[in-house]
Amino acid sequence: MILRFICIFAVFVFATLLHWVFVDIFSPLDINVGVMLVFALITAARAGRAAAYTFAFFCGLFLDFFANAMFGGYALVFTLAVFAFHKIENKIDFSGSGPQIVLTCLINMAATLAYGFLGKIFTGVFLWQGFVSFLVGSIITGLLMPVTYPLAVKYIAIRSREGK
Amino acid sequence: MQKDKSKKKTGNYESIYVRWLPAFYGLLALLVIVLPLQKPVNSARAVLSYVFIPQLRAANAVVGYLDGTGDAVKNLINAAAENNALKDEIARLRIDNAQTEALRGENERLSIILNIARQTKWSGIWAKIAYREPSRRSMVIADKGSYDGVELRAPVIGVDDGVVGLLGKVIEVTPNTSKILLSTDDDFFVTAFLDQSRIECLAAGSGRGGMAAKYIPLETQITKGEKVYTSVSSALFPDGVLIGSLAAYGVRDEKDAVFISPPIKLAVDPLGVKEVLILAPIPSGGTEQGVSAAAQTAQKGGKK
Repeated sequence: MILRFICIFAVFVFATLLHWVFVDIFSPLDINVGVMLVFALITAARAGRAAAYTFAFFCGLFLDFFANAMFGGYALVFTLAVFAFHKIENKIDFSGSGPQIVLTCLINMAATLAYGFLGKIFTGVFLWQGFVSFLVGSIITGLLMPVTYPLAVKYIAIRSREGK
Repeated sequence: MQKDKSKKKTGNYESIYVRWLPAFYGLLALLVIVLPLQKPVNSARAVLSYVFIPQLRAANAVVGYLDGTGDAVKNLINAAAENNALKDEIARLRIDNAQTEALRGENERLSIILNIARQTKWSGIWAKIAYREPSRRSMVIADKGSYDGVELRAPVIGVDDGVVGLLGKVIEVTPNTSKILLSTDDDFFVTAFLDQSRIECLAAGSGRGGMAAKYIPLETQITKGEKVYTSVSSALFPDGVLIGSLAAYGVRDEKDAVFISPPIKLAVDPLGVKEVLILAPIPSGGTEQGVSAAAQTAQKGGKK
Protein backbone atom coordinates (compact mmCIF):
# COMPACT_ATOMS: atom_id res chain seq x y z
CA MET A 1 0.00 0.00 0.00
CA ILE A 2 2.78 2.43 1.00
CA LEU A 3 4.89 1.38 -2.00
CA ARG A 4 1.89 1.95 -4.26
CA PHE A 5 1.38 5.42 -2.81
CA ILE A 6 5.08 6.25 -3.31
CA CYS A 7 4.87 5.06 -6.95
CA ILE A 8 1.81 7.22 -7.63
CA PHE A 9 3.45 10.20 -5.90
CA ALA A 10 6.61 9.69 -8.01
CA VAL A 11 4.43 9.75 -11.13
CA PHE A 12 2.84 12.97 -9.89
CA VAL A 13 6.23 14.61 -9.32
CA PHE A 14 7.43 13.47 -12.76
CA ALA A 15 4.21 14.81 -14.32
CA THR A 16 4.65 18.22 -12.69
CA LEU A 17 8.28 18.44 -13.88
CA LEU A 18 7.27 17.49 -17.44
CA HIS A 19 4.39 19.96 -17.26
CA TRP A 20 6.86 22.71 -16.33
CA VAL A 21 9.14 21.83 -19.26
CA PHE A 22 6.18 21.95 -21.68
CA VAL A 23 5.01 25.24 -20.20
CA ASP A 24 8.48 26.67 -20.69
CA ILE A 25 8.51 25.61 -24.36
CA PHE A 26 4.88 26.17 -25.44
CA SER A 27 3.70 29.04 -23.24
CA PRO A 28 5.50 31.72 -25.33
CA LEU A 29 3.71 30.27 -28.38
CA ASP A 30 0.42 30.64 -26.52
CA ILE A 31 -0.29 26.91 -26.62
CA ASN A 32 -1.57 24.99 -23.61
CA VAL A 33 -0.51 21.32 -23.56
CA GLY A 34 -2.43 19.09 -21.14
CA VAL A 35 0.50 17.17 -19.65
CA MET A 36 -1.26 16.72 -16.30
CA LEU A 37 -4.36 15.41 -18.09
CA VAL A 38 -2.23 12.84 -19.94
CA PHE A 39 -0.90 11.49 -16.65
CA ALA A 40 -4.36 11.53 -15.08
CA LEU A 41 -5.63 9.39 -17.98
CA ILE A 42 -2.65 7.00 -17.75
CA THR A 43 -3.38 6.52 -14.04
CA ALA A 44 -7.05 6.05 -14.87
CA ALA A 45 -6.17 3.35 -17.40
CA ARG A 46 -3.61 1.51 -15.29
CA ALA A 47 -4.21 2.10 -11.59
CA GLY A 48 -7.30 1.47 -9.46
CA ARG A 49 -10.29 3.78 -9.64
CA ALA A 50 -9.75 5.28 -6.17
CA ALA A 51 -6.14 6.08 -7.01
CA ALA A 52 -7.14 7.47 -10.42
CA TYR A 53 -9.75 9.88 -9.04
CA THR A 54 -7.45 11.06 -6.26
CA PHE A 55 -4.59 11.50 -8.73
CA ALA A 56 -6.76 13.41 -11.19
CA PHE A 57 -8.14 15.66 -8.44
CA PHE A 58 -4.65 16.59 -7.24
CA CYS A 59 -3.37 17.08 -10.82
CA GLY A 60 -6.21 19.55 -11.31
CA LEU A 61 -5.50 21.20 -7.98
CA PHE A 62 -1.85 21.60 -9.03
CA LEU A 63 -2.92 23.57 -12.13
CA ASP A 64 -5.45 25.53 -10.07
CA PHE A 65 -2.77 26.46 -7.57
CA PHE A 66 -0.74 28.27 -10.23
CA ALA A 67 -3.72 29.72 -12.10
CA ASN A 68 -5.18 33.10 -11.19
CA ALA A 69 -8.80 32.28 -11.96
CA MET A 70 -11.27 29.90 -10.36
CA PHE A 71 -9.38 27.80 -7.80
CA GLY A 72 -10.83 24.26 -8.04
CA GLY A 73 -11.90 24.49 -11.70
CA TYR A 74 -9.27 22.15 -13.11
CA ALA A 75 -9.78 19.75 -10.16
CA LEU A 76 -13.46 19.42 -11.09
CA VAL A 77 -12.77 19.11 -14.82
CA PHE A 78 -10.10 16.43 -14.32
CA THR A 79 -12.36 14.44 -11.98
CA LEU A 80 -15.10 14.56 -14.64
CA ALA A 81 -12.57 13.61 -17.37
CA VAL A 82 -11.52 10.47 -15.48
CA PHE A 83 -15.19 9.65 -14.81
CA ALA A 84 -15.92 9.95 -18.55
CA PHE A 85 -12.84 7.90 -19.36
CA HIS A 86 -13.97 5.07 -17.06
CA LYS A 87 -17.39 5.12 -18.73
CA ILE A 88 -15.95 4.57 -22.23
CA GLU A 89 -12.73 2.64 -21.60
CA ASN A 90 -14.43 -0.78 -21.90
CA LYS A 91 -15.58 0.07 -25.42
CA ILE A 92 -12.09 0.84 -26.77
CA ASP A 93 -8.63 -0.70 -26.71
CA PHE A 94 -6.59 1.95 -24.95
CA SER A 95 -3.32 0.01 -25.30
CA GLY A 96 -2.98 0.93 -29.00
CA SER A 97 -1.35 4.21 -30.07
CA GLY A 98 -4.18 5.26 -32.39
CA PRO A 99 -6.99 5.12 -29.83
CA GLN A 100 -4.68 6.72 -27.26
CA ILE A 101 -4.05 9.74 -29.51
CA VAL A 102 -7.68 10.17 -30.56
CA LEU A 103 -9.20 9.68 -27.13
CA THR A 104 -6.67 11.90 -25.33
CA CYS A 105 -7.09 14.62 -27.95
CA LEU A 106 -10.90 14.50 -27.64
CA ILE A 107 -10.86 14.43 -23.84
CA ASN A 108 -8.46 17.40 -23.80
CA MET A 109 -10.81 19.34 -26.10
CA ALA A 110 -13.80 18.45 -23.92
CA ALA A 111 -11.85 19.41 -20.77
CA THR A 112 -10.86 22.78 -22.29
CA LEU A 113 -14.48 23.54 -23.22
CA ALA A 114 -15.72 22.36 -19.80
CA TYR A 115 -13.21 24.63 -18.05
CA GLY A 116 -14.32 27.53 -20.22
CA PHE A 117 -17.99 26.91 -19.39
CA LEU A 118 -17.17 26.59 -15.68
CA GLY A 119 -15.48 29.96 -15.93
CA LYS A 120 -18.58 31.42 -17.58
CA ILE A 121 -20.74 30.06 -14.76
CA PHE A 122 -18.57 31.03 -11.79
CA THR A 123 -16.63 34.10 -12.95
CA GLY A 124 -18.84 35.37 -15.78
CA VAL A 125 -16.00 35.06 -18.32
CA PHE A 126 -15.58 32.15 -20.74
CA LEU A 127 -11.99 31.09 -20.01
CA TRP A 128 -10.72 30.60 -23.54
CA GLN A 129 -7.19 30.75 -24.88
CA GLY A 130 -8.06 30.73 -28.56
CA PHE A 131 -8.61 28.21 -31.33
CA VAL A 132 -4.89 27.72 -32.03
CA SER A 133 -4.26 26.59 -28.47
CA PHE A 134 -7.48 24.54 -28.50
CA LEU A 135 -6.57 22.62 -31.67
CA VAL A 136 -2.76 22.51 -31.63
CA GLY A 137 -2.62 22.04 -27.83
CA SER A 138 -5.08 19.13 -28.02
CA ILE A 139 -3.18 17.49 -30.88
CA ILE A 140 0.14 17.78 -29.02
CA THR A 141 -1.55 16.40 -25.89
CA GLY A 142 -2.88 13.48 -27.95
CA LEU A 143 0.56 12.80 -29.47
CA LEU A 144 2.14 12.95 -26.03
CA MET A 145 0.05 10.02 -24.78
CA PRO A 146 1.67 7.14 -26.78
CA VAL A 147 5.11 8.49 -25.82
CA THR A 148 4.35 8.88 -22.12
CA TYR A 149 2.14 5.82 -21.65
CA PRO A 150 4.86 3.13 -22.09
CA LEU A 151 7.36 5.24 -20.12
CA ALA A 152 4.95 5.62 -17.23
CA VAL A 153 4.07 1.93 -17.28
CA LYS A 154 7.66 0.64 -17.67
CA TYR A 155 9.82 3.00 -15.69
CA ILE A 156 7.57 4.77 -13.26
CA ALA A 157 5.95 1.53 -12.21
CA ILE A 158 2.24 2.17 -12.52
CA ARG A 159 1.07 -1.37 -12.15
CA SER A 160 -2.06 -2.63 -13.83
CA ARG A 161 -4.97 -2.67 -11.42
CA GLU A 162 -5.92 -6.02 -10.04
CA GLY A 163 -9.32 -7.51 -10.91
CA LYS A 164 -10.09 -4.83 -13.51
CA MET B 1 -17.04 -20.10 3.87
CA GLN B 2 -17.30 -17.36 6.54
CA LYS B 3 -14.02 -15.92 5.32
CA ASP B 4 -15.41 -15.76 1.75
CA LYS B 5 -18.52 -13.98 3.01
CA SER B 6 -16.52 -11.37 4.89
CA LYS B 7 -14.27 -10.84 1.83
CA LYS B 8 -17.36 -10.37 -0.35
CA LYS B 9 -18.78 -7.89 2.18
CA THR B 10 -15.51 -5.88 2.20
CA GLY B 11 -15.51 -5.93 -1.62
CA ASN B 12 -19.05 -4.50 -1.65
CA TYR B 13 -18.08 -1.69 0.73
CA GLU B 14 -15.08 -0.90 -1.49
CA SER B 15 -17.26 -0.89 -4.58
CA ILE B 16 -19.74 1.55 -2.96
CA TYR B 17 -16.86 3.75 -1.77
CA VAL B 18 -15.29 3.87 -5.25
CA ARG B 19 -18.69 4.51 -6.87
CA TRP B 20 -19.17 7.64 -4.73
CA LEU B 21 -15.58 8.85 -5.05
CA PRO B 22 -16.08 10.95 -8.24
CA ALA B 23 -19.13 12.58 -6.67
CA PHE B 24 -17.12 13.29 -3.52
CA TYR B 25 -14.21 14.87 -5.42
CA GLY B 26 -16.63 16.72 -7.71
CA LEU B 27 -18.46 18.22 -4.74
CA LEU B 28 -15.18 19.06 -3.03
CA ALA B 29 -13.96 20.88 -6.16
CA LEU B 30 -17.27 22.75 -6.47
CA LEU B 31 -17.03 23.77 -2.82
CA VAL B 32 -13.51 25.08 -3.41
CA ILE B 33 -14.69 27.05 -6.47
CA VAL B 34 -17.64 28.55 -4.62
CA LEU B 35 -15.71 29.44 -1.45
CA PRO B 36 -12.28 30.53 -2.72
CA LEU B 37 -11.56 32.99 0.08
CA GLN B 38 -12.81 30.96 3.04
CA LYS B 39 -10.31 30.11 5.78
CA PRO B 40 -10.22 26.31 5.18
CA VAL B 41 -9.59 26.83 1.44
CA ASN B 42 -6.81 29.34 2.15
CA SER B 43 -5.29 26.94 4.67
CA ALA B 44 -5.41 24.15 2.07
CA ARG B 45 -3.67 26.43 -0.43
CA ALA B 46 -0.97 27.21 2.13
CA VAL B 47 -0.40 23.48 2.73
CA LEU B 48 -0.34 22.80 -1.02
CA SER B 49 2.31 25.49 -1.49
CA TYR B 50 4.69 23.34 0.58
CA VAL B 51 4.09 20.40 -1.80
CA PHE B 52 3.96 22.16 -5.18
CA ILE B 53 6.44 25.01 -4.92
CA PRO B 54 9.59 22.93 -4.17
CA GLN B 55 8.95 20.93 -7.37
CA LEU B 56 8.55 24.13 -9.33
CA ARG B 57 11.75 25.61 -7.91
CA ALA B 58 13.69 22.39 -8.52
CA ALA B 59 12.50 22.17 -12.14
CA ASN B 60 13.26 25.84 -12.68
CA ALA B 61 16.76 25.45 -11.21
CA VAL B 62 17.54 22.37 -13.35
CA VAL B 63 16.30 23.95 -16.59
CA GLY B 64 18.06 27.22 -15.73
CA TYR B 65 21.32 25.35 -15.08
CA LEU B 66 21.05 23.35 -18.32
CA ASP B 67 20.00 26.44 -20.22
CA GLY B 68 23.12 28.28 -19.11
CA THR B 69 25.62 25.45 -19.67
CA GLY B 70 26.09 26.02 -23.42
CA ASP B 71 26.56 29.75 -22.93
CA ALA B 72 29.02 29.15 -20.08
CA VAL B 73 31.22 26.93 -22.28
CA LYS B 74 31.06 29.41 -25.16
CA ASN B 75 31.92 32.29 -22.80
CA LEU B 76 34.88 30.37 -21.43
CA ILE B 77 36.28 29.93 -24.92
CA ASN B 78 35.84 33.62 -25.74
CA ALA B 79 36.94 34.80 -22.28
CA ALA B 80 40.32 36.32 -23.18
CA ALA B 81 39.01 38.40 -26.09
CA GLU B 82 35.97 39.50 -24.07
CA ASN B 83 38.19 40.42 -21.13
CA ASN B 84 40.16 42.91 -23.21
CA ALA B 85 37.01 44.39 -24.72
CA LEU B 86 35.45 44.72 -21.25
CA LYS B 87 38.53 46.50 -19.89
CA ASP B 88 38.15 49.12 -22.62
CA GLU B 89 34.42 49.32 -21.86
CA ILE B 90 35.09 49.83 -18.13
CA ALA B 91 37.52 52.67 -18.85
CA ARG B 92 34.93 54.35 -21.08
CA LEU B 93 32.15 53.84 -18.51
CA ARG B 94 34.31 55.37 -15.75
CA ILE B 95 34.47 58.56 -17.76
CA ASP B 96 30.73 58.43 -18.46
CA ASN B 97 30.07 57.79 -14.77
CA ALA B 98 32.09 60.82 -13.74
CA GLN B 99 30.10 62.94 -16.21
CA THR B 100 26.81 61.46 -14.95
CA GLU B 101 27.72 62.27 -11.34
CA ALA B 102 28.44 65.86 -12.33
CA LEU B 103 25.11 66.09 -14.20
CA ARG B 104 23.23 64.56 -11.26
CA GLY B 105 24.72 67.11 -8.92
CA GLU B 106 23.72 69.91 -11.29
CA ASN B 107 20.24 68.41 -11.63
CA GLU B 108 19.80 68.28 -7.86
CA ARG B 109 20.94 71.88 -7.46
CA LEU B 110 18.51 73.03 -10.16
CA SER B 111 15.68 70.95 -8.65
CA ILE B 112 16.21 72.67 -5.30
CA ILE B 113 16.25 76.13 -6.94
CA LEU B 114 13.09 75.42 -8.98
CA ASN B 115 11.40 73.60 -6.05
CA ILE B 116 10.73 70.43 -8.09
CA ALA B 117 10.12 67.20 -6.18
CA ARG B 118 12.97 64.83 -6.93
CA GLN B 119 12.23 61.45 -8.42
CA THR B 120 13.22 58.65 -6.07
CA LYS B 121 15.67 56.09 -7.38
CA TRP B 122 14.12 52.74 -8.26
CA SER B 123 15.41 50.02 -6.00
CA GLY B 124 14.10 46.56 -5.47
CA ILE B 125 14.71 42.86 -5.73
CA TRP B 126 15.80 41.14 -8.93
CA ALA B 127 13.88 37.92 -9.56
CA LYS B 128 13.63 35.35 -12.33
CA ILE B 129 10.39 34.19 -13.93
CA ALA B 130 9.87 30.64 -12.68
CA TYR B 131 6.49 29.76 -14.17
CA ARG B 132 4.03 31.05 -16.74
CA GLU B 133 0.37 30.23 -16.43
CA PRO B 134 -0.37 28.46 -19.71
CA SER B 135 -4.14 28.92 -19.97
CA ARG B 136 -4.08 32.69 -19.39
CA ARG B 137 -1.26 34.89 -20.61
CA SER B 138 -1.78 37.36 -17.83
CA MET B 139 0.15 35.94 -14.91
CA VAL B 140 3.69 34.78 -14.11
CA ILE B 141 5.37 33.49 -10.96
CA ALA B 142 8.73 34.92 -9.88
CA ASP B 143 11.25 32.96 -7.81
CA LYS B 144 11.46 35.50 -4.96
CA GLY B 145 8.94 35.81 -2.13
CA SER B 146 8.32 37.35 1.26
CA TYR B 147 11.58 35.87 2.64
CA ASP B 148 13.43 38.04 0.11
CA GLY B 149 11.41 41.13 0.98
CA VAL B 150 8.76 41.05 -1.75
CA GLU B 151 5.51 42.69 -0.66
CA LEU B 152 1.95 42.52 -1.90
CA ARG B 153 0.96 45.12 -4.53
CA ALA B 154 4.62 45.82 -5.31
CA PRO B 155 5.21 47.28 -8.80
CA VAL B 156 7.22 45.10 -11.14
CA ILE B 157 9.36 46.33 -14.01
CA GLY B 158 11.09 44.25 -16.64
CA VAL B 159 14.04 44.59 -19.00
CA ASP B 160 13.68 43.51 -22.61
CA ASP B 161 16.52 44.09 -25.08
CA GLY B 162 17.95 46.83 -22.89
CA VAL B 163 14.60 48.67 -22.60
CA VAL B 164 13.22 49.07 -19.08
CA GLY B 165 9.43 49.07 -18.85
CA LEU B 166 6.38 48.33 -16.77
CA LEU B 167 5.55 44.64 -16.41
CA GLY B 168 2.85 44.33 -13.74
CA LYS B 169 2.22 44.14 -10.01
CA VAL B 170 2.50 41.50 -7.30
CA ILE B 171 -0.90 40.05 -6.41
CA GLU B 172 0.08 37.10 -4.22
CA VAL B 173 3.17 36.41 -2.11
CA THR B 174 4.36 33.13 -0.61
CA PRO B 175 7.62 32.76 1.36
CA ASN B 176 9.62 31.81 -1.75
CA THR B 177 7.57 32.93 -4.73
CA SER B 178 5.35 35.78 -5.83
CA LYS B 179 2.52 35.88 -8.36
CA ILE B 180 2.69 38.82 -10.78
CA LEU B 181 -0.37 40.10 -12.62
CA LEU B 182 0.90 41.27 -16.00
CA SER B 183 -0.02 44.65 -17.41
CA THR B 184 -1.88 42.93 -20.28
CA ASP B 185 -4.56 41.48 -17.96
CA ASP B 186 -7.98 43.10 -18.24
CA ASP B 187 -7.98 43.66 -14.45
CA PHE B 188 -4.82 45.78 -14.67
CA PHE B 189 -5.00 49.59 -14.59
CA VAL B 190 -2.39 52.28 -14.12
CA THR B 191 -2.62 56.05 -14.34
CA ALA B 192 -0.45 57.04 -17.29
CA PHE B 193 0.99 60.16 -18.85
CA LEU B 194 1.41 60.88 -22.57
CA ASP B 195 4.83 62.33 -23.21
CA GLN B 196 4.04 64.76 -26.08
CA SER B 197 0.33 65.47 -25.60
CA ARG B 198 1.04 66.16 -21.88
CA ILE B 199 -2.23 64.61 -20.71
CA GLU B 200 -3.09 61.90 -18.22
CA CYS B 201 -5.02 58.78 -19.16
CA LEU B 202 -5.68 55.32 -17.82
CA ALA B 203 -3.53 52.55 -19.30
CA ALA B 204 -5.55 49.35 -19.04
CA GLY B 205 -4.79 45.74 -20.00
CA SER B 206 -6.88 44.56 -22.92
CA GLY B 207 -6.87 40.89 -21.86
CA ARG B 208 -5.68 40.01 -25.39
CA GLY B 209 -1.96 40.46 -24.87
CA GLY B 210 -1.86 44.25 -25.09
CA MET B 211 -2.84 47.51 -23.40
CA ALA B 212 -4.86 50.55 -24.37
CA ALA B 213 -4.72 54.20 -23.26
CA LYS B 214 -8.26 54.95 -22.10
CA TYR B 215 -10.18 58.15 -21.34
CA ILE B 216 -8.26 60.39 -23.74
CA PRO B 217 -10.60 63.26 -24.69
CA LEU B 218 -11.75 63.11 -28.31
CA GLU B 219 -10.25 66.46 -29.32
CA THR B 220 -6.74 65.63 -28.01
CA GLN B 221 -4.04 65.80 -30.67
CA ILE B 222 -2.15 62.60 -30.02
CA THR B 223 0.87 61.48 -32.03
CA LYS B 224 1.34 57.93 -33.19
CA GLY B 225 4.43 56.51 -31.48
CA GLU B 226 4.46 58.95 -28.56
CA LYS B 227 5.72 57.48 -25.33
CA VAL B 228 3.41 56.51 -22.46
CA TYR B 229 4.81 56.65 -18.91
CA THR B 230 3.34 55.94 -15.49
CA SER B 231 1.97 59.14 -14.03
CA VAL B 232 3.02 60.90 -10.86
CA SER B 233 -0.60 60.53 -9.64
CA SER B 234 -0.41 56.73 -9.79
CA ALA B 235 -1.10 55.22 -6.39
CA LEU B 236 0.79 52.01 -6.97
CA PHE B 237 3.57 52.77 -9.42
CA PRO B 238 6.50 55.19 -9.32
CA ASP B 239 6.23 57.90 -11.94
CA GLY B 240 8.29 57.83 -15.10
CA VAL B 241 8.22 54.08 -15.75
CA LEU B 242 7.92 53.54 -19.48
CA ILE B 243 4.76 51.61 -20.41
CA GLY B 244 5.12 51.73 -24.19
CA SER B 245 4.19 53.91 -27.13
CA LEU B 246 0.88 54.66 -28.84
CA ALA B 247 0.49 52.18 -31.67
CA ALA B 248 -2.35 53.96 -33.49
CA TYR B 249 -4.53 57.07 -33.30
CA GLY B 250 -7.32 55.17 -31.60
CA VAL B 251 -11.04 54.88 -32.06
CA ARG B 252 -13.97 56.01 -29.98
CA ASP B 253 -14.94 53.63 -27.15
CA GLU B 254 -18.55 53.72 -28.35
CA LYS B 255 -20.33 55.49 -31.20
CA ASP B 256 -21.29 58.56 -29.15
CA ALA B 257 -18.36 58.39 -26.69
CA VAL B 258 -16.31 61.47 -25.85
CA PHE B 259 -13.09 59.51 -25.33
CA ILE B 260 -10.75 57.55 -27.56
CA SER B 261 -8.72 54.47 -26.62
CA PRO B 262 -5.59 54.08 -28.74
CA PRO B 263 -3.72 50.80 -28.31
CA ILE B 264 -0.30 50.84 -26.65
CA LYS B 265 2.70 48.99 -28.08
CA LEU B 266 4.35 47.67 -24.93
CA ALA B 267 7.99 48.56 -24.23
CA VAL B 268 8.58 45.20 -22.57
CA ASP B 269 7.05 42.05 -24.01
CA PRO B 270 5.55 40.27 -20.97
CA LEU B 271 5.87 36.88 -22.68
CA GLY B 272 9.55 37.30 -23.47
CA VAL B 273 10.89 38.78 -20.25
CA LYS B 274 12.90 36.43 -18.03
CA GLU B 275 14.18 38.71 -15.25
CA VAL B 276 12.21 41.33 -13.37
CA LEU B 277 12.83 44.01 -10.77
CA ILE B 278 10.24 43.95 -7.98
CA LEU B 279 10.09 47.40 -6.38
CA ALA B 280 8.90 48.29 -2.90
CA PRO B 281 5.18 49.23 -2.91
CA ILE B 282 4.23 52.90 -2.62
CA PRO B 283 2.87 53.23 0.94
CA SER B 284 0.02 55.75 0.64
CA GLY B 285 -2.43 57.35 -1.78
CA GLY B 286 -5.61 56.33 -3.56
CA THR B 287 -6.06 53.45 -5.93
CA GLU B 288 -5.95 53.02 -9.70
CA GLN B 289 -9.51 51.72 -9.44
CA GLY B 290 -10.46 55.04 -7.89
CA VAL B 291 -8.99 56.89 -10.87
CA SER B 292 -10.78 54.47 -13.19
CA ALA B 293 -14.10 55.07 -11.43
CA ALA B 294 -13.61 58.84 -11.61
CA ALA B 295 -12.84 58.63 -15.32
CA GLN B 296 -15.89 56.42 -15.90
CA THR B 297 -18.06 58.92 -14.05
CA ALA B 298 -16.61 61.66 -16.24
CA GLN B 299 -17.43 59.61 -19.34
CA LYS B 300 -21.04 59.11 -18.20
CA GLY B 301 -21.30 62.82 -17.55
CA GLY B 302 -19.92 63.53 -21.00
CA LYS B 303 -22.50 61.29 -22.62
CA LYS B 304 -25.35 63.07 -20.91
